[in-house]
Parts: sequence; structure tokens; C-alpha cells
Amino acid sequence: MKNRLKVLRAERDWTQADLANKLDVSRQTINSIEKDKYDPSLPLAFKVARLFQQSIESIFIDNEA
Amino acid sequence: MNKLTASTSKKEKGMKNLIFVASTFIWIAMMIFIDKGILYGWFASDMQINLLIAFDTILGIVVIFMFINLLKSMDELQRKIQFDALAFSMGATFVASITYSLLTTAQIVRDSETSDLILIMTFCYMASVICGQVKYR
Repeated sequence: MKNRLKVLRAERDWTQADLANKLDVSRQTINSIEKDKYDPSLPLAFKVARLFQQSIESIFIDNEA
Repeated sequence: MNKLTASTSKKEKGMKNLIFVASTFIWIAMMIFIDKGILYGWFASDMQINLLIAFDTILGIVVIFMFINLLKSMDELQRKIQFDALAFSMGATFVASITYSLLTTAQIVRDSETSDLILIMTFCYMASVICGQVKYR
């Protein structure tokens, strides 16, 4: 699954650590999601969507769609 | 979440980790002490040995619940790394114990020791956690 996390974060001038603090996860988790190594859980995906005030589908792109 | 709350949360997690590591260390040290004590006759009575074994077992159970709490306090990626490591170490120990059993039946090796299996489990768990940390760094 691809995502636009890095772009959205860069637009707000946030570091990975800033985003990790806002989402209450580790910086390692943010880095792994950005590099498409790890797909977040549904609750975390919702949290990301709420934080960026966008829909989940506009942030996370399903490869098989 | 503001920086102060995040920092407090990190401190709390750090403290939890420290208490867990200390408890595990005390449990293992006590296990070795009891084992060697029985072997070299350090204890005065069977009652003393039974009490120490009971205390060590209770401490072991406490460590299990502390580990569960530690897992709950981790974020989802850390938890995934831990679960992968637990699954791998359990599978490897299961396979090793069956192989050991077959080799013992075939009289190729001497009777297997429980400590060998614990060693395999510990090594596989630690190796898998390190691999997970490297994979998702």
C-alpha cells in the first residue's frame, strides 16, 4: 500500500518525530509507513486522516485498486 | 499531544522497561541461586527450599504479567516486532524439541536438557527482535 504521508508532513514542515508525537507512536513507525515497509492499523489510519483532515483513501492508496 | 506529555509518557515507558528488566534479572538470579543451593547443600531444610521455589515461581508469574503490560504499552510496530519474535522463537523451540526427542529415541544424542531448549528459545527470540528492529529501522 502506497501513502502520501511524507508529502503531507513536508507541507506542514513537520519532522518524523513531530508527527510521531502527534500520533502517539514511535518515529520508527512513521519512517516504516513512509517507506511502505509497514501498513498501519485501521485505528492509526483513521488517526492520520483526522490529523490531516483528509479521507483515508486520499492518504493511503491501495495498490490492488 | 504536547511535548511535555510525550516526554512524560516516554519516561513512564522507560521506567516500565527498567522495572521489567530488573524483575526478570532477579527472577533468573534467584533461579540460579536455588539450583546451585540445592546442588551444593546451602539450605538448612526442605521447607526453606520449598518456600524459595514457591517465591521464585510467583515472581515468574508476575514477570509474565509485566511482559503483557509492556507489550500493551508499545506502539503497534514495536508490538508486531515482538509478536513476530515470539512466534518465531516458539516455532523454532517446538521443532528443536521434536528433533531432540527423535535423536534421543534413535540414541544419537544423550537425554535432552530443558536448559538447552530455553537457550534455543532465548537465542531465537533475541535474534528475531534484532532482525525486526533492523528491518523496520
